[in-house]
Amino acid sequence: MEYSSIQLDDLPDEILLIIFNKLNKLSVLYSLAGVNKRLNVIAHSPNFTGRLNLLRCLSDHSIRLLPKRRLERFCSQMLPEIHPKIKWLNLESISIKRILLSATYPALYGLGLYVYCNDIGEAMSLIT
Amino acid sequence: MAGHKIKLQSSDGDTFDVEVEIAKQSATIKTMLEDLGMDEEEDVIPLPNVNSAILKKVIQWATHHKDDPPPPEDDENREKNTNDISSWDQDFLKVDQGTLFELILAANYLDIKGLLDVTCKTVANMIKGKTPEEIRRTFNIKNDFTPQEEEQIKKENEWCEEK
Repeated sequence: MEYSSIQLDDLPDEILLIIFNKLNKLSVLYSLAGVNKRLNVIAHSPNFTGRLNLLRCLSDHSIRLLPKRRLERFCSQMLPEIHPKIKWLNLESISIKRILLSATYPALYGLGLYVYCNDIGEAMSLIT
Repeated sequence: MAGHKIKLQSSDGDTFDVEVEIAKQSATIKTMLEDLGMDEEEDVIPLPNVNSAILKKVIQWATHHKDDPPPPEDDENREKNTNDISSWDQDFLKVDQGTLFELILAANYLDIKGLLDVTCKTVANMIKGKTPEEIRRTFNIKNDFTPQEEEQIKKENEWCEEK
């Protein structure tokens, strides 16, 4: 077969969106924000910043915190850029306070809270 | 009719005899056959967006998957899983990046959902876990930010440099 010279950046946006939608949204931000101007715009589009899972779902369906340093940097450096676009957040017990108090969320209309029974009171106090 | 064949013509003029049931995995070809009444063996279906080498690969894939059930509808809420590529497909997709991207374009044009899904998952797996710099190296992408813009982006993305 002859060598083809088509590269990832030659694919139309429609195809890139199909590919990137195979990844979770944090992976898109992690790997593609800042690669070049075009991919940066796509990674910051509402498609990938509108609904975020700021937790890890393991294969046994248990919920885990994001790695601490990644979470801290996300809150301090990514949230200032994308917080107005976030419409839905899925959070777990330990990071709820950190994330909700790090920014305002004017477009937020939904929260998925994965909390232990003992933490429900504190979680509710943050959103009421 | 079982074994009934049609001719598919690539952009560079080669024709391929393909069983109708195999060709119909392409929704584009299925529509042509059903809506335009192109069901005679003499009819040639031109595929101006697919070259001979890629069309040959597409036919090879469609022949292997001819008895597969229809792929499920996309579901935004379904857990993202890119690790369910069969070993046959993994071997089939051990090709250079250019060929992989041409297969994606052909699958999209021909509207072959299963092939589009597995090729896009393969690229997604090549992206997963890589930093922006690793993405540039892997896919030969030029950094077109000015130094000032890059400094700003670096600040914004420092969070993902450490795992």
